[in-house]
Amino acid sequence: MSFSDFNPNEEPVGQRLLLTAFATAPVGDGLAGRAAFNEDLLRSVRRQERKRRRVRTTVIGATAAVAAAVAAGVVVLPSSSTPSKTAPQAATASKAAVKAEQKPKASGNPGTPVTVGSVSYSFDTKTSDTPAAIVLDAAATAIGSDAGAGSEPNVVWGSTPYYHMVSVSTCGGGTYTNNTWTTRNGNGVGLGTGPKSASDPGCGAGDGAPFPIVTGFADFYGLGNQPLTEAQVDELPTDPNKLWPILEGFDGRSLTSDPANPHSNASTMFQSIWNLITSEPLSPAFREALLEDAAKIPGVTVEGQYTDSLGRTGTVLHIGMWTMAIDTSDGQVLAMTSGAIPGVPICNGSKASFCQSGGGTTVYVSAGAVTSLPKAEAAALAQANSGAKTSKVWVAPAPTPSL
Amino acid sequence: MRTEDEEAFDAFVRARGEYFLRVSVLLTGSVPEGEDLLQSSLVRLYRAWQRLDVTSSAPDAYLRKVLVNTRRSWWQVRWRRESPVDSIPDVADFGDFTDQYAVGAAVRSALALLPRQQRTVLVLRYVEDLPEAQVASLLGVSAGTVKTHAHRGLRALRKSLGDLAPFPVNGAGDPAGVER
Repeated sequence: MSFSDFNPNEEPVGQRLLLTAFATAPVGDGLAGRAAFNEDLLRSVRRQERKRRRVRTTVIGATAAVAAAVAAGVVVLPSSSTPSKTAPQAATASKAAVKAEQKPKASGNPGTPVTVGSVSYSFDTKTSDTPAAIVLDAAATAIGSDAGAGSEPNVVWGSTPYYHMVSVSTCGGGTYTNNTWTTRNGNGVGLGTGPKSASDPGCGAGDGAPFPIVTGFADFYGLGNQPLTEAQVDELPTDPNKLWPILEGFDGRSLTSDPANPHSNASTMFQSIWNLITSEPLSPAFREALLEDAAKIPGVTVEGQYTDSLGRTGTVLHIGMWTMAIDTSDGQVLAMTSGAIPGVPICNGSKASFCQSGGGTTVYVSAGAVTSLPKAEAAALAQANSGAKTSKVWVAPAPTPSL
Repeated sequence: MRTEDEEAFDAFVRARGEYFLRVSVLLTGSVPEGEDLLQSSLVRLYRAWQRLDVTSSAPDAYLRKVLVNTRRSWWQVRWRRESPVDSIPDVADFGDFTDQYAVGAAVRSALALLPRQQRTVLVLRYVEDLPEAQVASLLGVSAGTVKTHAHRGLRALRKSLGDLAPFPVNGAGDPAGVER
């Protein structure tokens, strides 16, 4: 009997094969090795808990110090109760604050340029002591969403069915150039070039031929640990003060700072905001609200400057296992990395293998809506769209009266 | 946490750690990612431990839910660099399918190529042997959707493996021999 002709009795054979895959998974060397792994797990869990408790104590003290500094007028920190449509002069003040606060660190590292295809980029860690909230508020203000606010949905497809993203990335030791065309249901077409990575089978294998990207479900988008359909994203408020309690309530877990945990709720929420911003065409008002609320996430640090050969510069923000670069002059997200950057303690010393090996970097070259696809990409997209499903798992809260 | 709770948590990890590591490896497609997924999920289980009735199957159910949710959130943020490949990675000598380890490796590779939801359903339904209704509840989808994913997932597995080479499956895996 062969696997290829196990019909019609496919379930028992399929289950037996899957159980073989389960039983033979290479998870440690013998009983002693697996027992040692369990003990490692226990130590790691307790170490993360101890760090979390220490950090919570520290954060409470630090928050009080920042509050005192603000009260004394030391820094110009836009109030969290500032209306989302901030006046232009406030933006200027925020940017001035960013500039004034950027002081070289004594032990900074110059950026090492990395070249991927036609783009080279670098992260340096020479600056700064600026609070991340100031950077993010400045970026939010720079979006300047007055025009059209309240008159368009959060996801602005208009009459353009495809969201085309061009990016370059590093992954598993290889370098890649990527094109993706995403549609409303999250499915799409990818077109990449780059070698298949020997160390990470998930990387690359781009041979220049379009391939379908199937999410398999419509609640592909998400914030924090909460999957969302595009319709649900559209239901979110553009007032950051109304959006924030919803973000806090997703998954019923708090967004307290936990730098010792590379996958903390705060880290996941922070990263998911960039992921959402770069996944589909969001309205300026909604992007502004997301950035204003990102400024409220505790534990984010400013680590330096990002520069690339496209002539762009950005401020580098870091939390948990994620590091991002954002241009505070226009609010554009420039790059995201889960890889190690010299001087930035990725994962804060965690021994998780992901933290040891470091992840990949994606530089967002361009993004925008397009009206049509080349023929081969269209065929791949049709294949992707044949499998979309919906699972509604989150219900928007009833509207609350204006504050 | 009280001392007896700490001891109960340790006992749980020692008894069930390997089982859930294997589940994590199948959910993620690789051992390193499976280890990371399990470690992160155990931290969350630890924080919830005092709220759980540890004399029942609550820790298993809670950990399973955290694994699935955490895996989903990781997958969402990494999907761009998970470019589908058009062939199964080289993981074993496909000429030696009488070896159940080679069969297991081939099945894991084929499983790793499936869409995330199909892979999750196959693992929960056939490896964890959960009823369709429970899988549906875990994933927040209907039982019909679970049935569809399971059917399509098995079909895709069969196609992936069948395209390579026919190989015997009799005796390839013995459910009774799997630690549950």
